Amino acid sequence: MSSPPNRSKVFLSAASAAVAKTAPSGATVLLKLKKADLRIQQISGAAIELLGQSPKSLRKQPLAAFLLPAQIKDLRQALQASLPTQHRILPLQWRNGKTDPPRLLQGRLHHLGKSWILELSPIPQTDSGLRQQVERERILAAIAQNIRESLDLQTILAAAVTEVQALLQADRVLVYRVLDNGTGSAIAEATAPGWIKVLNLLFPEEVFPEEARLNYLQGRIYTLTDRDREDVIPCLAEFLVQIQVRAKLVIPIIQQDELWGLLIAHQCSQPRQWLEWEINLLQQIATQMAIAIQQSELYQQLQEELSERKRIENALRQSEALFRSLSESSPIGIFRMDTTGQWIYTNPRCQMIGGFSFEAALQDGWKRFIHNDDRDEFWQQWEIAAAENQEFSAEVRFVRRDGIIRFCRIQTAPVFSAQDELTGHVGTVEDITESRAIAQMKNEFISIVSHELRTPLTAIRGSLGLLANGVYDQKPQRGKRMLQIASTQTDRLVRLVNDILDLGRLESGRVTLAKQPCSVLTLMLQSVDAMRVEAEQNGITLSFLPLNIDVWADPDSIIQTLTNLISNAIKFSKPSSTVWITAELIEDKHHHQQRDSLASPRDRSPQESSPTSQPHNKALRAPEVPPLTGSTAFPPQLKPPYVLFQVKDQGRGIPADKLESIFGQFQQVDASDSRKKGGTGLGLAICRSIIQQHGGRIWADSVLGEGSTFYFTLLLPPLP
Amino acid sequence: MSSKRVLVIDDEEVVQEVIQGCLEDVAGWETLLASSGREGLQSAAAEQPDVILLDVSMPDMDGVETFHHLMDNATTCTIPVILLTAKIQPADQARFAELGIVGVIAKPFDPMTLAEQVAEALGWNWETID
Repeated sequence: MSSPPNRSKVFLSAASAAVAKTAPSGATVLLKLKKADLRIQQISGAAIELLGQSPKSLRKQPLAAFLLPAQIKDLRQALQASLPTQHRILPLQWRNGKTDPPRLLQGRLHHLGKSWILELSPIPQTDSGLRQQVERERILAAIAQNIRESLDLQTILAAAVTEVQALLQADRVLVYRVLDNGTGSAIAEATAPGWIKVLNLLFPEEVFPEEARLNYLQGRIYTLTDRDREDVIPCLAEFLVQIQVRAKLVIPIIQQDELWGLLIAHQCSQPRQWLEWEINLLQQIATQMAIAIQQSELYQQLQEELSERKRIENALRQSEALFRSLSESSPIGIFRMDTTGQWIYTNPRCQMIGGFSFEAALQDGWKRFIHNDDRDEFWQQWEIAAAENQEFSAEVRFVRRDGIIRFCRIQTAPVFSAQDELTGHVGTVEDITESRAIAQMKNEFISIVSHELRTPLTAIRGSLGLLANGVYDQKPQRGKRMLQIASTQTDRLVRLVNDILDLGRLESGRVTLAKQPCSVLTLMLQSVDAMRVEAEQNGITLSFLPLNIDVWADPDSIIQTLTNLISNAIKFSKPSSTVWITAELIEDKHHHQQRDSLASPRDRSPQESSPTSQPHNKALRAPEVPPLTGSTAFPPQLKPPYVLFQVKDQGRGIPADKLESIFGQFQQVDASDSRKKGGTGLGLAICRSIIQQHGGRIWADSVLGEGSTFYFTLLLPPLP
Repeated sequence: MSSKRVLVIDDEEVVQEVIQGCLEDVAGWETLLASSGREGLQSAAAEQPDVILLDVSMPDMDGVETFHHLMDNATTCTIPVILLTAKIQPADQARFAELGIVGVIAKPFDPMTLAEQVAEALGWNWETID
């Protein structure tokens, strides 16, 4: 085994022998390289002086760490091509990292067994050709690198002028941009200190005649060695004086057969004879620049296209989002059909109305949700309209999966492309179930009212007609009866008209109730007083238990409600029976107890929940029964405190199925009641309306044959 | 022509009374009164009136239903029926005609010509009615 000193000795002596004859004077470094990977194995010579590296820091490093890849490639080629005895001198740039300026060296290769010896030495000062060749390659490589690193035109141009100015030691280097109008300006500049800067200075048209331009376009260059000794057109000479130019070299930058601009070197301090290699170099750089400019412009164009595309995409996305939100949040159903009537889109509201999912409605799917009786006619009518490219409107029923039927208005309109071609149909679906029901109710009301009005009118017109025509002139008893009929039926008509007007006003909200603190005692006394005569006539006892508390109410309308309920109780009571009128304060504690008992399912049999089954218990309860009208105008649970009024009779009672409907219009238990009992069929509807507008509730309990109890609640006055 | 016997079916007692006045005291006809459809069916079968004046809006069994029962019964199906109704919309008229009702008289009617209207609807010669 050899020790390292021995190996070192062998290396040095062998290397000395190989290089002795050709070694140049001055500092030299010998590097022993492993053939396989060109790793540095041993170092001898003035490594620090020549390479700026200690031998220790070089050892085992690959040569590629210090030389450009192109030079490594050159080196390998030289190794393969050369015989051991033949060697070539290669110009090399030794680099110690990116920031350190490259050291210009020449290298020779020597063969030594399994290794190579690379002999490095400085380039002799006299060998300017080699030096410049290296420098030229370096500047070209640097510009090429800048081009690769940047697509920004200003960066490229600035790098180019700086490099060229440094290389040529020129006083000023410019990139001059030729403009279409014959003028131009310097758009990049590197100027030595002390000379005026011409960046962005607009060069007048006269200094750049058309002829010069054509010359440049053909790739010709222009050299001026000495402004003062050569024949220069006067205006140009003057301009050159202005910008301190003594000698100049102009190289065209031609880009896609157009004169894009000029690469110009100025010498200001003295005349200058431009050398061939300088001209060549600048031409090469101008070519590189032309490529870089083209790339930059392409890149710029691409960027613009990309940003335009992005802008359009954004605009489209925004527009899409806008229209999507219009459809997705629309309170009306929207669908889209293709030209043949197949559905291709439904919005959420459309799905909600029709009771189908997006997928279920696609194609012909929607038809399954149309009522059997409507489907074929709707489709036929639609096809007729669609064939004529006409708008279409129809009413159909959608039957949901749960069996609920919705009445809908469907409208469609054809959609045309910009070329006027039919692309499909857009449709809307409007749920008109509620408005239909309201319209139907109104019609029914009008129908009932007209009948209710015509009955007394028939009697009045008939009886008075007979009297007026003297039919009963000879029969005074019959005549008197006819007058009586006319009179009672007139009263009935008046009551009816008053009630209709009352109800109309109440329900339209045109009546503003003058709510104020009212004594419950006074309300009850006044109501009972008003009904006393009627009670006595019917042999009924009115019994009332007053309560000394105030409620928040319009006294007249509450008296109207109470008297109406008392009057009903009297009408339907058996003779010699009693009608009770009571009022009771329901407070929080009481309420909670009731709530608790109601909340426990074990304590409640299904019968108990029926309002008719246990009227006496129910009387003490808070109004747990659902609102009779289904109205949502007041909270579903009435919170104490409030006053609970009751009017209880011992009459014939009300069937369970009528307990709610009696509060509707013209909904007597027995249709003949209005005639027999003199009612209009609107009394309870009016009571309900009044109580609702007080924020209270009204309902009834009854046991057939035993009697009925009517309840209503009123709130206490608001706290001051 | 002899005096006519008219069955009036109307749930409104005051209207019954007035019709009775119109027919008896103006035209001298005989009237039979019924306050419901059911009562009217019995009376029609038992009394075989010349004509029935039938109110449409009645509780329980309305005029149209009563008419169907009258037509279904062999003993009453030949008795002509005139409807008395407040509903005189064209759609109703057509429906009534389809049912085979000979006439419709609108309420409120002219008391002096009620009998005349009945006679006209039935093609009776008013002048010759006793």
